[in-house]
Amino acid sequence: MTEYRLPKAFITTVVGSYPRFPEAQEALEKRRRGLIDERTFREMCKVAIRKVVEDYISAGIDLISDGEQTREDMVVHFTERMNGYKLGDWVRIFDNVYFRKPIVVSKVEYREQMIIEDWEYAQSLSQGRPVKFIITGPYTIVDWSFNLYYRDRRELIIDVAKVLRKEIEEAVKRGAKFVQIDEPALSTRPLPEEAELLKEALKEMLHGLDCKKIVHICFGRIEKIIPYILDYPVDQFDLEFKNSNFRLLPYLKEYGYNKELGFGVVDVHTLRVETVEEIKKAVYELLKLDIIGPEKIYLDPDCGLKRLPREVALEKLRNIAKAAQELRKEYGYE
Amino acid sequence: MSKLDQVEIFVLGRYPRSARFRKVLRDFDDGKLSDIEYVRTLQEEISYLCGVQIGAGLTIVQDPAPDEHDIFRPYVESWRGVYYDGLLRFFDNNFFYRIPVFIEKPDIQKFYISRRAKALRDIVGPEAKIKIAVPGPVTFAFLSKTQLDKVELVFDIAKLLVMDISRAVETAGLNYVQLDEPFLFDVDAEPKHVELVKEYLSEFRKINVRIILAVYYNAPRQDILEKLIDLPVDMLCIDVINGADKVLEVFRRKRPTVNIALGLLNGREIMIEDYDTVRKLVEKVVEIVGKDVVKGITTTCGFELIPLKYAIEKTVVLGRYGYRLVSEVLS
Repeated sequence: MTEYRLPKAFITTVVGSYPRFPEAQEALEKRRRGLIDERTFREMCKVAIRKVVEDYISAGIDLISDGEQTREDMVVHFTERMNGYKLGDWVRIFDNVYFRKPIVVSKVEYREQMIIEDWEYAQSLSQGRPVKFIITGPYTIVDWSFNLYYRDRRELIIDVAKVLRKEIEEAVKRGAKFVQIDEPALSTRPLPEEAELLKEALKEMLHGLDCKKIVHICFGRIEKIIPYILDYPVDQFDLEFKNSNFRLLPYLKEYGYNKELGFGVVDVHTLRVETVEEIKKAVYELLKLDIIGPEKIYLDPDCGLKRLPREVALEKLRNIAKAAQELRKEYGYE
Repeated sequence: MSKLDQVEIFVLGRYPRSARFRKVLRDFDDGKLSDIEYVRTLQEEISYLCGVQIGAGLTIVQDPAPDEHDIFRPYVESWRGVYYDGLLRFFDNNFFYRIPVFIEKPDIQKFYISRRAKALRDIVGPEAKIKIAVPGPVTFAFLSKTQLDKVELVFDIAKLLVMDISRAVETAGLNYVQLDEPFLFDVDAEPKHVELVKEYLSEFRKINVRIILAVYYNAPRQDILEKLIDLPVDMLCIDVINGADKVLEVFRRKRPTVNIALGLLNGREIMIEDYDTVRKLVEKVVEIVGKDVVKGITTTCGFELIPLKYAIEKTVVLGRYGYRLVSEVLS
């Protein structure tokens, strides 16, 4: 494998999803209609994963993902591949957009690999760049499911965590250096007892693993949850900032934040492409707080890019990479 | 406040869309369907969902509003001075609303509630009691973006809703209006927000319509609930499935002066509640506050976030449980 040396500061990365390529869309539709088996589905999606990786490399992103091209959405992809779940009916997410909210009908157990193959394929194409192993967390999976089996929500979350642990463990065994757990649902209930629940699940999933551990949270009252999560057993929080106009920044200072930070500097809900200057300005504001240095700052979008047109997503990533490059020069890292 | 002479059984909010309506809406948005075809399908959808409620024996027919994208959108589209922006999560749901952005004092461009009420009345006939759920002014203002003063905005919104509701009462004989104030269960809610509700209610009280105040997605905090149970509304809907203990504790400390509708079926979950458990809960409430305070049997929230088949099943169960509870516990 070609060696790629990550920069010492302002590493650029992505949160996970990338606009879906037609090849992956077609594969998902065929799979949903039962026209192809899992093997054919995976093979069809490889074309899309390759294009994602090419885009990331051309944009200059250091730490990439597989673009989540095979995932119908961030919950169903996993629950479809676990025992204990059945596929649900369509439930609205916004406007006239829906997801098939899965249903827990028996004890949740590990059945098969879920995302390792996609990750491995992306890693084989990445020209040495590390590929994040990105998995939806148990709190969010449970929150976005119906439950007809478990009487105790905690027990369900821990069982899902155990299933995910197997997947993560295998990925680390195969060389994953960065593992990211996506938990967007956590910020909707900024309560200490909820944060505690996820902490327990994270311990279950991540204990003893030799990799960089990241939790991604977005679009909610993150500032209210921050004080309860600082002692999570992770190296980095990847958080949305741009969409909420960086209102989170003073809270980081207030709560003495000192882990690595995935700093969301571009909004994934707007077509406007943030300029390099704008991105750099956000970083200056963060550095001004004097809580973490450039080595601990990872620049990325607020969240996954899947809802953006490809050209907009790509342009946003290019500007992140360019801003990072200029910042490294300014701060003496190049 | 009016004296309610019977226990009302009703669904708290909106219904989900059928597969057919989802497709029609998509085709309509893509310009593949005419306005006429869209309206005809919508009317059929609403008729069906009203039929489900009537068939289940519910005493109030809720406007199922399957066409409403979120609780604010129809008003944003019908008023001047406000537009909608990006998406934001609606409380603790995996559901997003488009954020209303108020750029100036809003004004009515076209009446919305009265048109809905008229359509509903035409469908269900003159005898049925009809209800429309509208966004509560506090929730509307505090979930919006604006440079305007939010407290003033609460009263501006209230004024426009009152105008529209008055017309709905006049033209369609709207019986109940439900003010949705889920913001009051939220962590950001404070007792001062209940004071705002109390204040704006004085305007609503001038209309000859029964007012239901709905706080959903969970039982509110105790300091909020203590204030809610004294508000001058005809019925206060409280979720007693999620957080029964805190509700009962407040009731023990302070007997409500308002009529209470108990949210007994979880509108966000597909599991059907066990009748005996529900009955025990109602008995506990009655033991504390007395039968005369409990004037409604309802759901914890609308059904819009569960698939349609479960919404229908739960509607039927609501009717069945409602009548049993009335005869076994509440009469």
